[in-house]
Amino acid sequence: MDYIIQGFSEALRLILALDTEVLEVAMLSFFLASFSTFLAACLGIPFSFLISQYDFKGKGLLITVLNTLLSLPTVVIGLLVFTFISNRGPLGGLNLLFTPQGIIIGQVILALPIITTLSLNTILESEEQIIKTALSLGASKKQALFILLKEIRFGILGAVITAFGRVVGEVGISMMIGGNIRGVTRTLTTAIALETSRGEFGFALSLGIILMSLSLVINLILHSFQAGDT
Amino acid sequence: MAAAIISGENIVKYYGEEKILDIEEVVIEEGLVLALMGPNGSGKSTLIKILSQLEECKQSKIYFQGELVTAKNRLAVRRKIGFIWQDPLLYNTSVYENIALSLKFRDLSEEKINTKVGEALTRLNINKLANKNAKQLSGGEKQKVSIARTLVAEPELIFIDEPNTSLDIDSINLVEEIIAEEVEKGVSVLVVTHNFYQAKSLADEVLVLKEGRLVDQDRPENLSIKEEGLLKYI
Repeated sequence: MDYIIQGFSEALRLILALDTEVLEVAMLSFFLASFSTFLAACLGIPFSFLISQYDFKGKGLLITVLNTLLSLPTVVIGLLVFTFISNRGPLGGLNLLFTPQGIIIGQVILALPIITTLSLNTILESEEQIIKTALSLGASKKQALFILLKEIRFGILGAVITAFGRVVGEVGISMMIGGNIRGVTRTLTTAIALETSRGEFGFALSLGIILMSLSLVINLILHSFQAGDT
Repeated sequence: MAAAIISGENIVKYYGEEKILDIEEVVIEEGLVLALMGPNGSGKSTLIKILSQLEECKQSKIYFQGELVTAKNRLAVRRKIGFIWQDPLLYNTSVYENIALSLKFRDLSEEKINTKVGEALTRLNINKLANKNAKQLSGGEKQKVSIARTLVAEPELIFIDEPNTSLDIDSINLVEEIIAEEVEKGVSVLVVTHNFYQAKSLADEVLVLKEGRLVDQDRPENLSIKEEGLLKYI
């Protein structure tokens, strides 16, 4: 029991003292997850609109594949990206392995189906009545789509925040693609795994507390968006 | 016989294998109130959506004020038609913005929008709701806002979808008052209703749909003698 109490007091000391290494890891994690989520949102939101607005052969299959990708384990994404960007892979020449850029590629692959599927569900749930009402008020198709986007903004933001939450907490991609290199690719999750195995319980706990706090903040924001929707 | 505000030819609509509508010709004369009646599933809502260009019906020909509706003039035609839905969707913004939206779609100046929205709020007696979020309104208030945002665009033809459903007696009276006022101004109105007595008191003409076919179109007094038969449809 003592070592838990000691661990927690050490963790709090590190956080309150704004320990450079703790902050560095936390900042890198936050930056990588934010950038990956931003890229995935830029691709996923328009993609979900395209899927919702056009009827094409294989649309049902595409939605099923996207839904399946929601439960894709991060180590599998890590393995897939590793296959492509390792020295022997087709993109080996780009030297992306063990770099933050490599992690971003993997995290975008993780976040993309989450943002696309959740946005698509939001659109499909409400588009018929929103679009029909806008058209009946004299909107052009473009104006009606803009109204749809405006009306479902909280649902879309919810999708983006959910993806960010998943990305910031993933370990498989960061470990396999990033290689857990100190100061370069060490994220909150990979650092927690490493420090725990090294017996640096207090350090690992301090990172865990930061990760949990980040999750709490994300959920609070998500909740406030959902409350704003009513 | 007055000129037609809207007419349709060869309106045939399928949902999957099922034929929903099969109407050779339907004509709505300018300046009249028409009641569209028929049992549930007879195709009333689909017909008004096709006539108002909210739903596609490829092989049909729709004429608005004598002009064939095509992809080119579809938006302009839609902007001359207003809709009052039985369960209106109001957008997640203020009542003022909800009403102003119809005018913003038409690119009116801020000044004109302000004046017209103010008039609409006064006409429906909902000035005090102007800054309230539309999602927080009661059913009756929602319907008033929905009527205001339709009328603010000054449509030449108004479709009213089952005004009695989910409305209290005051709101029903309000809808009937509005219909009378708009007709006075020369606006044509088509009311979808299940209430034969309301149709008789409001409408100049009654259209009866059954299983997607137009089975009767006549003045209410002429339909009265067939009342027993008609009630069977409805």
